[in-house]
Amino acid sequence: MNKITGKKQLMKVLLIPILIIGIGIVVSIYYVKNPGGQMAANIISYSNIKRRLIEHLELVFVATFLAIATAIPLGILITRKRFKKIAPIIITVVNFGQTLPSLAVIGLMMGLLGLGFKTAIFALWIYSLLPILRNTYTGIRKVDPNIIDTAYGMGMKKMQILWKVELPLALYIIFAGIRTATVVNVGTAALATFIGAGGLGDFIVIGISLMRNTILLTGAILTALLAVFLDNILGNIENSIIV
Amino acid sequence: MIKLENLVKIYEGNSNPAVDNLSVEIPNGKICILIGPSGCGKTTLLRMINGLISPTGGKIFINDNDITEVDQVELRRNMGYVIQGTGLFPHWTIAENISVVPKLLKWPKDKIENVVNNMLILIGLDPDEYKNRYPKALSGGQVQRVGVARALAADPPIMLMDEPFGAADPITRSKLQNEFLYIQEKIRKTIVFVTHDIDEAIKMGDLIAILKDGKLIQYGTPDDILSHPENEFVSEFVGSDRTLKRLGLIKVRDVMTRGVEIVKSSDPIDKVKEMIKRVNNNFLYVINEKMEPRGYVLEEDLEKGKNLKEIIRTMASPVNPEDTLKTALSNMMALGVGTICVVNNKNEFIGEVTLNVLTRLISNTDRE
Amino acid sequence: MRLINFMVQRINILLQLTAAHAYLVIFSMIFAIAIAVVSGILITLPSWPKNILLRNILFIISLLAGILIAFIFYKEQPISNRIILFMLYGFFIGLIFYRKVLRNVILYIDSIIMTIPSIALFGLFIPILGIGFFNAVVALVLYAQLPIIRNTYAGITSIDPAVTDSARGMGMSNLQIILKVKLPIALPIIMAGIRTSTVMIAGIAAIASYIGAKSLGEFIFRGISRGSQNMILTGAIWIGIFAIITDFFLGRVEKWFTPKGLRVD
Ligand SMILES: Nc1ncnc2c1ncn2[C@@H]1O[C@H](COP(=O)(O)OP(=O)(O)OP(=O)(O)O)[C@@H](O)[C@H]1O
Ligand SMILES: [Mg+2]
Repeated sequence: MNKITGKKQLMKVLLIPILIIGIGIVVSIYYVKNPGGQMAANIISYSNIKRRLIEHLELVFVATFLAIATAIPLGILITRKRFKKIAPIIITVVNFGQTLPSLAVIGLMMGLLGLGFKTAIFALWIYSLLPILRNTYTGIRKVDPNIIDTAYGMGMKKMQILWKVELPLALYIIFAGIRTATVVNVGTAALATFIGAGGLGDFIVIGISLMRNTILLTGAILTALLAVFLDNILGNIENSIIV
Repeated sequence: MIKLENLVKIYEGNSNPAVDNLSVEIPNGKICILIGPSGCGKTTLLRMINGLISPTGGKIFINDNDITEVDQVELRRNMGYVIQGTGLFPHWTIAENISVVPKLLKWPKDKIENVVNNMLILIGLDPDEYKNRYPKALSGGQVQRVGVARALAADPPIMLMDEPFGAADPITRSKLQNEFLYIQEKIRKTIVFVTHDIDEAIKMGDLIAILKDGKLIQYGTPDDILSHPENEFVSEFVGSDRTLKRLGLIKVRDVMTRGVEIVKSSDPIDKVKEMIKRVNNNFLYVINEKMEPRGYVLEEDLEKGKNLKEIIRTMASPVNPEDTLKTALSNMMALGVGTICVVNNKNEFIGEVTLNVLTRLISNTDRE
Repeated sequence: MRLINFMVQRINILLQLTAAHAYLVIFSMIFAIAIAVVSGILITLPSWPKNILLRNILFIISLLAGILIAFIFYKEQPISNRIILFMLYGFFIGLIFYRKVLRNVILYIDSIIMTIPSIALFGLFIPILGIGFFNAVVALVLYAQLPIIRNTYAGITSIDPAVTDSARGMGMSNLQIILKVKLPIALPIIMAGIRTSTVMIAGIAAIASYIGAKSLGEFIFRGISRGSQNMILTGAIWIGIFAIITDFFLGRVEKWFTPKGLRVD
C-alpha cells in the first residue's frame, strides 16, 4: 500500500533480497571450499549448485506461470453469473485439495504418471493452482456490489467492469495467492528430487543418505534462502499494489 | 462522598492534559452529572475514580479514604461501572452478565438468582424471556439497560455511569430516565453520570459539572447553571432556550397564586357580574359543588346568557402544584389562554398561574 | 482394484503407521499449542515492569541466571542442547520483559520459518539434533507456531476494549480477565489457528519419515526406492485421507468450542 518512491525506499526494499543473495553466495563458496571429504567435494561443485538451482527455478517458474495462466481465467469464470451454482462446489474441491499434503500430491502424480520432470511440473502446477484460484474467486466476490452497480449505472459494459473495476480491486488478493503459490512451489519442488526431477532437494536427499552434513546443509540452506528470497520480493510487490 | 482534589491526567505522548487541575466534591446520595463536549475528559475522569488509570497529579478520596491506599479490587467491587458502549460479555447470557460481581463476591446461588430476577424486572425486561439470551440477541437500548443492571447487581454504594442511555431513542430514553430517577429515590446511591445531553443533565442531575478541555468550567445545581451561567461557553452550552429549560425546573407550587376569587356554577349571573367588577378582572374561574374547576366566564359574555352553564368556556387542563412551569406553559399554549388553574390531587381548585408571572420569571433570567 | 487388494493385505502395517503418524502429530501439537498460546497471550500484555531501567536490569539478571542454569546444571548435556535450552529460556524471559519488541520479532521470525520448505528445515536441524523423532518434533513445533500465535494475538486484541475495561472495572483480577473473559472470547479464533496448524502439520509429518521419524510418509519413500506404484499411491491416498479427516474433525471441535453467544447463525 505504500508506494515505492525514491532511491532510499528502493534501497530499503532491495536490502533484504540482496542480503539473502549474498548469504547464498557465501554459503556456496564456503561449502565448495570445505566440502568435508573427497566424496562430498565431487557433489558440491559450482557447476552442480548452478545446475540444481536452475532446475529448481525452472520447476518453480514454469509451474507457477502455468498456474497463473489457468487459475486466474478459471477464477474469473466461476464468478460470472452463469456459473454461480457450480462455483461453491469448485471452491469446496479447491479447499479440499489444499488440505492434501504436498508429499501426497507428488506421490499421487508419480504413481499415476511415473518419474520425470514433466510429472513434477504437473504436480506443482495442480497444487499451486489452488491458492490462486481461490484468491481470484474471493477477491472478485469481495468487491463491493455497490461499486459494480455504480459502474453499470455509468454505462460500463460487462467486460469493462471486469477489467477496470473488478480485477484492479481484486488484484491485491489475487497477488497474495500468487505469492503463496510461488513459495509453496519452492517447497514442493524440493520434493521433486524423489521423482527424479532434480532441484536443490537433490543435495538434501543425497546428504541424508550419505550422512554428509555439508551436502545436506548446502541444499537445505539454499532452498530456505530461495523461499525467503522469493517471498520477500513478492511481498514487496504485493505491498506496493494500491487498493 | 467522592472528593477529587486538583486532579490532573496527562496521557503518555499527549501534550495537553485530558483532565486539568480539577476539584469537585460529590455528596453521598446525589447524582452528579459530568457534561461537556466530546473529548473533554469525562471518561478519563470516571476511569480514574474507578482506579483503571492512575492520575498524573492530585488525589481522589472516597469517604475520606485516598483510593491509592485501598485495595483496587475491593474498591472496584464497591463501585458499579456502566462503561461507555456497555461492554457486555458476549460469551455469557444476560443472567451470567448480571451476576458477574455477585459471583466474584461469592454470594450464595439462590441469592444471586434472586438478584438477577429483580434486576431484570427493575429494568423492565421479563426475566423468563431474557435471562438466557445472549447480548447479541438484544437491541441497543436493551443492552444498555442490562449494562446498568449489571452495575447495580451487587448493590454498590457508588455508581459510575458513562452515557448509560446513549443508544436509546428519545421516548425510551425519557422512560429510562424516569425509571432511574424513581429507583434512585429509593436506593439513594452516589452517582457520577456522564452525558452529552443537556436536557438529560438538567432532568437527572442534583449537581452538574460542566467540563471543557479537561477543566471544570462550572459546578452547581441545574437551576444555578441555567440562571447564572458562569461564562459565554456555559450559556452557549446550555443553549439559547435555557430560560425555557429553567421553567422545567421550577415547580408550579413555587409561583402559584392562592386565594383566587371563584364562582360556583350554580351562582346567579348578577352575583357574578358584581364579583367581576370587584376583583377588577375580566374573567372568573367556575367550580362545581365538589370544588372541581369546570371552566371560566368572560365579562363580555355575561349579557349573552341567563345562567352560567350557557356561557362557560373551556379552560386549559389544570396542573398540580408538583408539575413544572414547563407543563403549565404548554397547557396554556395548547388552548391559547393566559392562565391556568392549579388543582390538588382530589382535583379541587387551589389557585392559578398566569402568563404574566411566567414572563416576569423569564425576563428576570435574561437580565441576569 | 489391485490397489485396494494391496491396501487390504497391508492393512496391519498401514494402521501401525497411521498410529505413529497420529502420535507424531499430536505430540508435536501439544507442545506447539502450549507454547504458541502462551506466547500469543503474553505478547498482548503490556511489558512488565513499567519502569524501563528496572526492566532492563531484571532482564540482564535473568539472562545471567539462564546462562548459569544452562551451563552448570546441564553439564552432562552436549553443548548444542545447552545452547538450545538457553535460547528457549531467553525467549520466554524476553517475552516477559519486552513484549512489544518481541511480538514483532516473533511474528517476523515465524513468518520466515513458515516460508522455509519443510524438507529444508528438517535438513537444517540434522547437524544439531541428528535424525529421528526428536528432530521431527522440533521442526513441526516451529512450523505450527505462526497460525496459532497470529490467531491468538488477533483474537485477543480484537476484543472490544469496553469488554475488558468493564471486566477490570468490576473488580476482576488480571488472571480472571484472561481466563474468564479474554480466552473464551478469543477461543474460536484460536481454535481456527490450531486447526490450520494441525492440518499443515499432518502433511509435513509425512515428510518427516524421510529423516527417520515413523509416519505415513514411509509408504511413499519405500515405494519410491522399490519402484512400487501401489505403495506410493497407497501412501499418498492415506496421507490425504488423514489430513482431510483431521480437518473435518477439528472443524467440528472448532464449532463445539465456540461459546453460544459468539455463534453466528
Ligand atoms: N488511552 C489514551 N491515550 C491517549 N489519549 C487518550 C486516551 N484516552 C483518551 N485520550 C484523550 O484524552 C482526551 C479525553 O478523552 P475522554 O475519553 O476522557 O473524553 P470524553 O469526554 O469521554 O469524550 P466522549 O464524550 O467522546 O466520550 C481526549 O482528547 C482523548 O483523545
Ligand atoms: Mg467518553
